[in-house]
Amino acid sequence: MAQRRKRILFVDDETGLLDFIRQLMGHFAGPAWEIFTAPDVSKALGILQEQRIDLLVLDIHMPVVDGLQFLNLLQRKFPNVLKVVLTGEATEHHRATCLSNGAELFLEKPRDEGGWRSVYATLHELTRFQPEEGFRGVLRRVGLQDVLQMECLARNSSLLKIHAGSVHGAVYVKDGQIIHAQCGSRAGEDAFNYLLGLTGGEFDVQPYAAPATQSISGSWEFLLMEAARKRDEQGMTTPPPGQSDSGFFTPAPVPAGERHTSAVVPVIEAAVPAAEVPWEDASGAARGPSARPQVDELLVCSLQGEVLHEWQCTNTNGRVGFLEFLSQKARQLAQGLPLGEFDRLEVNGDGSRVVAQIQPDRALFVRTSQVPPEGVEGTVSP
Amino acid sequence: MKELVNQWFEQSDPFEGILACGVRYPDQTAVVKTWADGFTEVAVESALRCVVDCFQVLHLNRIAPVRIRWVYHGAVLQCEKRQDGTCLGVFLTRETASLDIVGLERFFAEFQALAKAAAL
Repeated sequence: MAQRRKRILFVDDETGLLDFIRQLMGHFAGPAWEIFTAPDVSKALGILQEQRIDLLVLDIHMPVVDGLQFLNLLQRKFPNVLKVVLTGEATEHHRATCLSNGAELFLEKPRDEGGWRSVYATLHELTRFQPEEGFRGVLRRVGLQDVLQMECLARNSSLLKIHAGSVHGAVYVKDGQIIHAQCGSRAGEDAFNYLLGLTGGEFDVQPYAAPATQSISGSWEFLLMEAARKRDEQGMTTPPPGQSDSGFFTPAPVPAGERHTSAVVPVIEAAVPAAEVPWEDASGAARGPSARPQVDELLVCSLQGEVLHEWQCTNTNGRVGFLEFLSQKARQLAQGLPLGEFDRLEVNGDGSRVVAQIQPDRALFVRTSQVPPEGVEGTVSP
Repeated sequence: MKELVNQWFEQSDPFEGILACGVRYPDQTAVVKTWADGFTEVAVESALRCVVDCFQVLHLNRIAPVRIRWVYHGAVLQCEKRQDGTCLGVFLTRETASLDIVGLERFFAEFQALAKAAAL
């Protein structure tokens, strides 16, 4: 089967450079790439809305809306588009900022053809990261509804398999039309509405396989609108118990869109997992039995980056951004390695500890510190 | 300094529970050793790049890590970064009974001590 041409969009305010890139990259890639260029953010957004772009390469220094702001916007509006920063000013600070704002790579603009060839090879490899068939929709600010919409708009034929705890379902899309949905004993629009009402879980887009029956005949636009309306009316379908097996802190269900800021210090014994390996403080000495952990900050957000619960979080957007970065990096890190699913990142610092966990339906950020037992004065004991 | 670390890394013996390990230098080069099936040098080197990115982003978020642990269902990656930017990553089994914790801690301690030794 012939591979679909990759659609690559370059965004840079230097139009001369864009022409050069179009020619050179076109030469390197041949028919494998369809190249688009945009001299500013508004034109880039126009292209993104019209085309299914696979990879976007942008400069960070642009007038009006700079690349960093644009990256942030892209992360929210087009989470599935791979993003690469190509800049003439490759400082470590810029690099870290771009990576934490959703860029997959941070590259320096080359000065010779050999350098451009390396850039092409890197971008080419990156586009290969995107599987032709099947992907996981975990913490990428993308919902099932968005993916269905994209599949229908692109007139694709695909099978979306959805898992949430013990719930397993499937939605069949043929030539851009939703033709069947199944979830246990439910079928048709009933199953479709139930699946789209799930608050979390995982889904995979798989190659189309014909269903045993066709239970849906309405237009996909109406189906999606109706599902959204039902979801709003009935409230979210609570994911079935047993969805998470990690034993981590699980907040009480919070209605969608309602941010909960607790005045109560959360119980952390369940929130922060005990390390399999004894945890040590910055000095390398094991914690004394007298020190006790104190929660300094806690945040729980949905897959869409919506804050579900927070306590003493001083930089909510920063923490959500970090969790998204972590989700992306954990996936990249595991590529080609037999690591299994990512569970959490534990960061041990000087007297403090951070645990960031990515679950199938939510992400958690907890920062704790060690405090001496009552009656003991002075600094934090190891 | 890099030669010293390379020498130590090459001479270091594996301990129980280690699957693979690698050192990434500030000049973006890396040395890698693997023992377990599926841990290719290329993939471990690529993982170390992600680790370095994470240290940078943590710094940007005003979190100063001493050690970070990436916990996957199948293995754990523990990492430390020295003041000079050199980063050590060690892939470990998740079966704690099969892990030589003393050996692991000694490995990291030696890695950090090399920087102090070089500074003297």
